Amino acid sequence: MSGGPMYHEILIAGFGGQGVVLAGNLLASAALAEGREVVWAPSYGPEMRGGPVHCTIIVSSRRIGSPEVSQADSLLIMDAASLQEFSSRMKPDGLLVLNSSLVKAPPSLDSFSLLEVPANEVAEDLGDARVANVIMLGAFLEIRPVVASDSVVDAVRLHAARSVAGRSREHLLDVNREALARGAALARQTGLRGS
Amino acid sequence: MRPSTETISSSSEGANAGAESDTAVAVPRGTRILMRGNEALAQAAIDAGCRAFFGYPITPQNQVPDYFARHMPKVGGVFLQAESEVAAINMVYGAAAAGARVMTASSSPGISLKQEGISYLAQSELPCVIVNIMRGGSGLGNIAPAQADYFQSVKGGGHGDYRTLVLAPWSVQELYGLTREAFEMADRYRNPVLVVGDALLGQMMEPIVVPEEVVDPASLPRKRWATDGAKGRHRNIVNSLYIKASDLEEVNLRINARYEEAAKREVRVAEERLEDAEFALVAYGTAARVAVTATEEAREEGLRVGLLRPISLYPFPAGEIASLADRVKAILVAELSLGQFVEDVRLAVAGRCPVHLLGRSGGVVITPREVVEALRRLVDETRG
Repeated sequence: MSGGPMYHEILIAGFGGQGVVLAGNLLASAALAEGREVVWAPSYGPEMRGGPVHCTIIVSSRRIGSPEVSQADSLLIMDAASLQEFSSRMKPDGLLVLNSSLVKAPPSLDSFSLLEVPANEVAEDLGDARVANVIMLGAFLEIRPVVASDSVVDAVRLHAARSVAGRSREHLLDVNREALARGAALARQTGLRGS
Repeated sequence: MRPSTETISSSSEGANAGAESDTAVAVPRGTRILMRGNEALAQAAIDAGCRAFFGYPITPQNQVPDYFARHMPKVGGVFLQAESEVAAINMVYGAAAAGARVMTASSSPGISLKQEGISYLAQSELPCVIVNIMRGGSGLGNIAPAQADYFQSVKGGGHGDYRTLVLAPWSVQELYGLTREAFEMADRYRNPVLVVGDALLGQMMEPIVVPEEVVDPASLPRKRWATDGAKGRHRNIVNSLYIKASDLEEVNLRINARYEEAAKREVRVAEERLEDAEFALVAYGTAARVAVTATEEAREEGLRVGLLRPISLYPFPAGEIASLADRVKAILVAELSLGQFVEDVRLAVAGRCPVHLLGRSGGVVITPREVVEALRRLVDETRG
């Protein structure tokens, strides 16, 4: 996907422990590796496991001005509270990727596109509840390939190299690669609702 | 110098938090990497030859002491978490008096607490670097991005007849570069240099290239005034107490002459699309990032707009702004405060053209859309 002109603002939100910040890191690392301009910004403050958390990522083929995302092109929502909080932070014609394991789709779709991903169920099916975030990423990238999914795998490899050793590193890489693929397959199967 | 012993934390959060010490990697140099603003400025200090950091925790700058805590010991430096901001700035005084390159960092309320010490540092003609990752104020305020410490930064801050030299980066790369630069300026002018960012600049990650060349502290020239041991030479005194008025005035005139020298040599600005501009935005730091996006959007709508961005806030680019005011029909100032920076712009413009203000406060970041709308109003009014 690298090369062409593009500009995409992404907001990922959920609760602490769902890998929201890591998912954003992976996207940002992948974008960097593809030679893109990128700004990653976290929510910060009295954060805690289970508390609300979000981050924003801007991926662009040209210099990025404002680092603040006010109206995202794509919204990745991991839990119900985040949908409440951030549904207004999306462009009217944006893409909403919803973790349907934990959130019901809003009755009114307005003009945006909706992709429902049962990320928790699929993660448990893969034997690692932690990869729900990467399943969401895989689904998102299938619809909006702002970075290549291979670049995300490379980013996982980088992060894994820094954080874990030996066999668990191999497992992490395998399960994340699988999670990306399952997310992408789900997106292809279910397709978008809305415009 | 020894990059193999210096490590990067891999930008803190997520996969790697906590496990870094076992799998430390050298900070990659000469290639694009992702780094947080707070980490980049801390690495910049180490690369500038700073081997002493004294601080006290406060959000949103906590990655700064965190980074130093992990990396200073590896380069033989001192990281010390003091019992308070006041203690930290006075430790800075001690290290600076001994001739060391030294830094402290904090965020708005913490910087207020340090002001007495900064005044003493300035009066004692001591170089040091102070970083303020500004947050919403006044009072305890919040931890969102703001530029509300502008007056405090550029007008002195503490008591007395002094200024701090003030640099205002707008990206992670500039946070790195200007922090390094700040150490050179501090030594050149024997004065505290303040680097001001905000919660967004400090927290966000962007691509940055960390250069290969670093300063070896051992290679720095000895400071002849420093109290670093008087064996075999006349003793040096570092002090801010001058009982006789004429003595104190003499010192203050000497210090003031350095500010005048800095005003000749250290003014820094950047320009965007001002060549044919009818209207100009003037903004610094994060507000300038928003303004540059607004400039592009306004240009798409057919408005001939450009941006002038002060990088040095003190010395202030008064001459550059005055000449801009001669070329454009009106100026719009965008700042994350309610009319501080605009005062200096108006002083520089001195009535040459109308100056309007778009200010947000309390941690609210201006959007590019707001800037474009304010520009449109400005254009309508000017064309009347």
